[in-house]
Amino acid sequence: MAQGSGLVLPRFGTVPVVHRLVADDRLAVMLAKTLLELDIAVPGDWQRAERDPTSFIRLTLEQWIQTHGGSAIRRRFLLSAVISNSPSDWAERDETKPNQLFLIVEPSEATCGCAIFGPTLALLESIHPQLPATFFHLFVGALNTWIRIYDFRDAEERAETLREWAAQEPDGAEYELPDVAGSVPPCMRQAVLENSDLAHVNDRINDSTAKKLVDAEISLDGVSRGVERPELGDDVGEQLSDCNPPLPCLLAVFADGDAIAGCFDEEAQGMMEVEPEPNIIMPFDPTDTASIQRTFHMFGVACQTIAAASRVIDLMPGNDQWIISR
Amino acid sequence: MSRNPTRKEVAKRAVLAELERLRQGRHARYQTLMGRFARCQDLQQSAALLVAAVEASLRTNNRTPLDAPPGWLPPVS
Repeated sequence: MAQGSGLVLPRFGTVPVVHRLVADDRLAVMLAKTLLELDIAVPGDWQRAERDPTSFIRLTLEQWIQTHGGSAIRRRFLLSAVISNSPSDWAERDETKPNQLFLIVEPSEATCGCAIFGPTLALLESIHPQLPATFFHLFVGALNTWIRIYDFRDAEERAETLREWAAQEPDGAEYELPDVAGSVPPCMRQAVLENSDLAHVNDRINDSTAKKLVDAEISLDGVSRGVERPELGDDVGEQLSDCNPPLPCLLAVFADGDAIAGCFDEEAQGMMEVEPEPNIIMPFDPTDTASIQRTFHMFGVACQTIAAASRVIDLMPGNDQWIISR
Repeated sequence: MSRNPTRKEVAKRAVLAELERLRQGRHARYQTLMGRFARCQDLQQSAALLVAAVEASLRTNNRTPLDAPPGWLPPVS
């Protein structure tokens, strides 16, 4: 430090004020490089990420979600996606697979979206008696491929458990149990239409709202079939053996505050008692280009399916109050 | 016939080159003392051994008072 005639204070102008040290970012560097080679990542994000591979991957993931319906997803779902070296916070890393990473999707802040089907089913029943059940099961089936939906079947299971508990109590008859069956519209007992029959019925729909709903539903079904979701291996299953089932991302009810919503509220109290399994777990190898490409393609289809479901809910009458983000 | 690379292609190549330097550990961020330490297991093990040796030495010698420097008062106890 230069000596002056008076008091001299050291200057820190040239000293970096932020230090970031990553002990081992080998996998992140390889993944970032392959994502850029595959044009999944964009070079402009490198500066935005302050030339840090981990931040670059995070920005790439955000951009990938955005180009696969991110805005629509955020309207109705509160989900988060991360890339981690473990399939859940509680699972220990599999040391025999040092090159394994996981793309994980789970509800953020334990918040669940909601869709009310009652008014939609009533509208569709006026067109064809089998259309309501077809619509419901196509919707739930398409979404359940990727994320968990809590619907009347989960509520019936919960009600059955409560009935069994009550039967063991001496004053069991005095318990008021949820009437789930009474909340399910009779039209839901109809058989589901085959695809060809649905297309035939759709051609004859005159009501514009119903037509848009069925068109959007057929589109959702098509998107969800874009790729087959592979089963997780036994090794990953073992890592998740102590986890609770995944948290539901959407509650499907027939009316606001019905018995299904009641069962969900009651069951939700215990859903976080043990770490829940993430909704989507996609293992991949960041040293294998084909594995990364396959995983991001599959993740894109998952995002497009959730976005298509969000657009269907937008069209369903009576669902204006369940918008999460405008 | 060759064509000039677009700005995006140039940027992509530059980022890929930087990532490759990171992959090979030749990037400037790894040339700092801390960066080398974080990536070198030998250095980390040496540091751990040194810490263990200092701790062992403290345990062995903690009852031996040092002589006071000349002109200083001797220890009270």
